[in-house]
Amino acid sequence: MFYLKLAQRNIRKSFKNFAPFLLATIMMFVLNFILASIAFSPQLDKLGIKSVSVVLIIGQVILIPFSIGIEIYAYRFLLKKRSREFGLYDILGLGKAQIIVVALFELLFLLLATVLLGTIAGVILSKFLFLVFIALIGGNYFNLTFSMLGFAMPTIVALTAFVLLAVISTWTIHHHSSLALLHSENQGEREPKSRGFLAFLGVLLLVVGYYMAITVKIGPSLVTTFAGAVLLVIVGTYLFYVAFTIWYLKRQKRGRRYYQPEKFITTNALLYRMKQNAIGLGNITILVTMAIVTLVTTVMLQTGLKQTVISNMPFTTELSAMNTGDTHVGNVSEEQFKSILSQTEKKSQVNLKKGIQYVDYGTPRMILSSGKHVTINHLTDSYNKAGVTTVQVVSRDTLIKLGNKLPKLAPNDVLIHNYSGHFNAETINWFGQLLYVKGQTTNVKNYPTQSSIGNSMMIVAQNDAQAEQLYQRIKFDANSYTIPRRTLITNLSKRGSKKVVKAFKAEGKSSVSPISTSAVDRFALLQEAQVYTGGFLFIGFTLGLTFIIGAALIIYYKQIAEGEQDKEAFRILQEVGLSKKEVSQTINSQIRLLFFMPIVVAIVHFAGAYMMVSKIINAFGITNKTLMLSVSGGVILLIAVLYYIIYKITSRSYVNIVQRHV
Amino acid sequence: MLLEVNHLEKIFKTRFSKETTAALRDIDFSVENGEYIAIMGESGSGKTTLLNILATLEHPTNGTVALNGNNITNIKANDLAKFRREHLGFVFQDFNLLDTLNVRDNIYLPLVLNRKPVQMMKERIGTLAPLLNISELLNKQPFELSGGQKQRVAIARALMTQPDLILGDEPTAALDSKNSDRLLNLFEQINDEGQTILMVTHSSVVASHAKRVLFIKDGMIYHQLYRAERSTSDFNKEINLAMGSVLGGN
Ligand SMILES: Nc1ncnc2c1ncn2[C@@H]1O[C@H](COP(=O)(O)OP(=O)(O)O)[C@@H](O)[C@H]1O
Ligand SMILES: [Mg+2]
Repeated sequence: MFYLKLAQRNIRKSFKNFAPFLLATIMMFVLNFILASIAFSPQLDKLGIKSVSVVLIIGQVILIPFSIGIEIYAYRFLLKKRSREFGLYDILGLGKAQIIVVALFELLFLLLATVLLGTIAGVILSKFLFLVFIALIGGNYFNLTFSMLGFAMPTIVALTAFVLLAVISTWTIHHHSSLALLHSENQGEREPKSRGFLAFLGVLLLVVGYYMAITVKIGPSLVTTFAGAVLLVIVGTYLFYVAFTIWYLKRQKRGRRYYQPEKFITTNALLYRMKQNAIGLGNITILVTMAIVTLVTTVMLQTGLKQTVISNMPFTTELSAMNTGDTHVGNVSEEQFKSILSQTEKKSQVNLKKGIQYVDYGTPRMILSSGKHVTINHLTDSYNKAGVTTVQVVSRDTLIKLGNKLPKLAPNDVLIHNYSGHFNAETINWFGQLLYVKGQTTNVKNYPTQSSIGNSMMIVAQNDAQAEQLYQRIKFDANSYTIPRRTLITNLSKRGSKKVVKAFKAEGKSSVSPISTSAVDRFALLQEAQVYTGGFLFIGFTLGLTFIIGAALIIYYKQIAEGEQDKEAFRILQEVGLSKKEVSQTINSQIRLLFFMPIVVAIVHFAGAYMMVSKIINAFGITNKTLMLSVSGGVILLIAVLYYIIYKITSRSYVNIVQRHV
Repeated sequence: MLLEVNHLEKIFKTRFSKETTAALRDIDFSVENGEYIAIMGESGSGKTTLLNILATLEHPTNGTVALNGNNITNIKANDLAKFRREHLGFVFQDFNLLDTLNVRDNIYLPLVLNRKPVQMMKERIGTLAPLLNISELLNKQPFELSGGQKQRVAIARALMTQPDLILGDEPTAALDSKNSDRLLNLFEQINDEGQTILMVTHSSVVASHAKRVLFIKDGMIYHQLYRAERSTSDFNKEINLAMGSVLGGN
């Protein structure tokens, strides 16, 4: 087969031209592969969280057209370099039909190479990332298993792209005369048109998107609002680059200061750059934004969940016992609890004397009326009815034992600790009993906190007896019944805690009385949280990296393409009377501007998404605002550094091209 | 004396080998105000190198170049660009127009770089555009122009600063013969109005439009001819004759 041989030989002979193209197709294959492997991993269902699937879907929706786009871009680049060769074949009498056959064979080889090398690289890279990740986290919490769909997805994407490339290749060769192929030089480009309406629309979409993101409310509509805002911002971003920047530059041209050297050169050069690069810049911006959002979310989940566990459990070990006999049998008595504890001490050989005892009355949800005189007289299951608040009854004695300083209270006086803000009521009608609000306790130390969705508050009663009395007044129904637990909290070593928990739990089973015991060990809880968040972190980590690699690839191609153009401008400006230094300064400042614009816009996007991201994270019970700020800062810094490294490496290829002819 | 070139030598060292090329060996000549000079020689004889040195785009290995009595070979690197844009105008083989600027802005470019008032740019383009017959092209982009039009735009750009000297490197090489003739006539016309022009070329037809022709070979000037009152075709014949006799009649 002559054409097959010729195609083979072409690729071997001018591998230098084919290499960047192959690099691009393989990279895109690998990115699609990794994303699909995670998305279709059976493990994901086990983690089953909506925000992850949203990120994955957006990731794929962006990545698939993006990778096809990149491949077309890379191929047109290749075609331009090779058109001379094709023109020569034509003149030497090979005929267009035959040239097309050769070009298609070349594409077939390239496709096979892409799928083969891409699969190998994809498996190796994802395994490698996985190992790095496990080493970082110190445990295996997410099993990376490859599924058929994980292979099929990227292959289908690559196939689609190559079919398009075949069409492009056929069309290009068919529609160009051999002479045109031979002299396929850069044809001049028209100055881009200013499209004021689109520019305005772009900015409008961004503003609306930001507004939606900032004002989003927790609730069932969160995910749809999130998706809507993301969509608006994505479209707005492209319009911003395509229309707004050009509209702005055009305006500059009409300005009074236009005929100043710096402005004159930069404005005109940017005008053309923007025309060619708008979509690329939009892609980079969105990828970088997604990398930031993904990493911030996952790192927050990882570190925040740990902090939440610690703040929910100020002590390492929590032992509690309750009566499970007939309803309303009352608390486990102090004597009963003491004997269970001493049994536990004996069996576990761990001293529990330092522990603090109190009665935990649970966290029922109640409906509060508003105003200065609040009435509370029924419970609810719902989270989102008006006035729903989680109410904890706590004895002042308990809080004092935990080291809090509180004012003295009369029998019907209470203090309020409101987790979500100021509580203005003066009196509370508590199931028919009038309570006087004597003040607010702004900060409660060491009491296991509630991280619940929505409002919650703590009512501090005069003493243990009074707290018990308040609890008894609550009119429970079958669904909302909560049983008080006599509880001991204490700080133990990891080993001690484990032994005590085991012994204490066993006590509940062996006991003849209808008392059930439960025990929580913070060490075990942290371990569990780690399992849960570890999977997320791996996904976020890989996605973030994928987005960054995608961005890097576009940047690389941009640099080569721009190098070729700037080479000319560089020389001409020098001849007309700009010094070498001035020329490189102007060009550098342009490149820097174009390079750092996406990351600045991405950071602005992230700022817009900040409220939304923190609300999503809040839903996991992580409310630490300073942590969120510092994690965001850290991630942005990390990505900026990575981005800068990419810039430095790729700009070397740019400088090489430009300087060759100066 | 506008320009004085003394014992100019240029030796290129290749970066990765020890080989050296002597592009210019010992060049001596001078140019008076208002002259129109062609430097003629075969490909590889050192024409572009010479022109680049006159244009301060390159440094000579030895020798001096003086413009209006000032040695321009030891202008500090930082001042070179300023010198170029104030004293010299360029017309190159491949036009060298910036694709990103429209024709008007391409012509304005040197004055913009010199931070001259817009008023001055408008006045000068007002006299130059009709002269060069490019008035209708001012709002177009370079890629919309033909080669001849592009070269006339490049000349307008070179004349905008009213330079002491216009330098041309094969300015007609990319033009067909008709446009080439038009351009050469234009050069003569500009020269008649007092503009000093120095161009290098390998073509005797092109050279025959100049008032004086210097012959360069292997980096040396070995002969010169004055056109005086001869027609271009007579002068062309004489140039060819001179080339033939010196080269041994090939
Ligand atoms: N940058 C350079 N480095 C090395 N050699 C050069 C360089 N520029 C020109 N030369 C050499 O100097 C000689 C003269 O070149 P050039 O001035 O371009 O000739 P012309 O313009 O007359 O064709 C040639 O032998 C050429 O190879
Ligand atoms: Mg030359």
